[in-house]
Amino acid sequence: MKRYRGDIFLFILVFVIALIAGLLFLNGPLGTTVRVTVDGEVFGEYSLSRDTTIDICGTNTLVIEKGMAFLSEADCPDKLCVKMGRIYKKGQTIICLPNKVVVEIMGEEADIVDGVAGGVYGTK
Amino acid sequence: MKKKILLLNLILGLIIISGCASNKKPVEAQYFAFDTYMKVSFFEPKVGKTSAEITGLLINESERLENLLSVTRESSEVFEINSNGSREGLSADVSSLLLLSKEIWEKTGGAFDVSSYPYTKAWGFTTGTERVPDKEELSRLKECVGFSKISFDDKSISLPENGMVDFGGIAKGYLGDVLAEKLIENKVESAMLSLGGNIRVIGNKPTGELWKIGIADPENPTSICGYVSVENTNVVTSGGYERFFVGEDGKEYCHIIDPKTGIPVDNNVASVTVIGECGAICDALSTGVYVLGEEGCEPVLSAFPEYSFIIITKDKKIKISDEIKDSFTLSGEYKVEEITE
Repeated sequence: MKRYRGDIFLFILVFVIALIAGLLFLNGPLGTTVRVTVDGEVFGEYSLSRDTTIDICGTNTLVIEKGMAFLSEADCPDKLCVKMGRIYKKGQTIICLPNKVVVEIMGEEADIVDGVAGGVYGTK
Repeated sequence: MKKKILLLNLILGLIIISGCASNKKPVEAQYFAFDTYMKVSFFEPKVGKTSAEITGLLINESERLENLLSVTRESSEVFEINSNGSREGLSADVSSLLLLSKEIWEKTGGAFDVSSYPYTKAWGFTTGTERVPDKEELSRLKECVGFSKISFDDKSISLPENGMVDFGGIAKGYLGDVLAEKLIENKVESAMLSLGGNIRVIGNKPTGELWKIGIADPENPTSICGYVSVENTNVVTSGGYERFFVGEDGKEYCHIIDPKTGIPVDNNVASVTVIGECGAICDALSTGVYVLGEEGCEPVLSAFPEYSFIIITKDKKIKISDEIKDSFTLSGEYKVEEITE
């Protein structure tokens, strides 16, 4: 009887651990990140919770500060991407069209909407 | 015996999780086309092509259409038509677009007109050299603008002298229709395409819920002023706030030009959203209604009862077609009003 109880307990324990590990893995790492792509290729991913300054290919400068991301400098003619200001919500993007740079907030926060009609660079 | 149980256990756990996983996340792709940012996301179909093959298909179709329709690419069909003033032999896409453009031109009383490209070019919008043309220049250009001056059939087209066409006001909506068709052919049941701010959704979300599509707040376009809950449709918005420049006179000039005057639109409308089955029609109508303004657009709204409209005004009103009022959720300080068509 004792042997069986031990077995069942172990069975349940391992099963639960496997389930939790699996679910955690699927949901991805906790916390929000900033993903930068250049011409469709991922250039880098950074945590929103660590203040940092990143040079993107010598053309744009990304700053992450106080949980927000923005481009502080860009060598494009109109600098619309710099004027976009700060983003911090999942799905928000800043785009530098001439340099094909996309800065996007990734993460697991639930968002109200799936897409935005009429959004300019800065939304989904 | 214990080892076997543990192993079985782990395998069981992983099988259950992977079962949940396969439906959970959509396949996503982002790329640049039509001078804007495109994002497609779809849930892999149970049979047929892989998601990588389907993504490749979508990107290829976007490239193919851009190569036909671009006003700046010298190898495009449209560039050729504009350079030579005519063309013998038209692609099926250009032919369809001409027919659709004609229909919307007629029904908006000329407010949507693909032959107004000479004006767009004079203002510098597609070439990135924005400027304010003078009255004489606009007067001269008037001679070559006007869809009635174009003659075409399914095989050929002829423009007036110095006339030029540009499908910019309808191309993204058309692209949405083309890509949606490809996805549906490949048994994709749930997808969302965001093509430079034009939204096309296929089916509803895999959970069975409706897609929630936000409508950008014209005063603050990185936020929304509300959202619609929809399935299997297009949600297309046009607004001056999307692209404009400030002239030397300090005035704002937007990229949507009134084909009758050659001057960028400046009325009480901040944006127009059209919701309906055909993306090309939604796209063209959103431009046409924007040009016509709050009062002028009423006949157009009645002419398209199967389409729904959301008109946002500069004095913070949201006018909504009565049939979608219940699908709209406000999320801000604008005031909602009903339009009856």
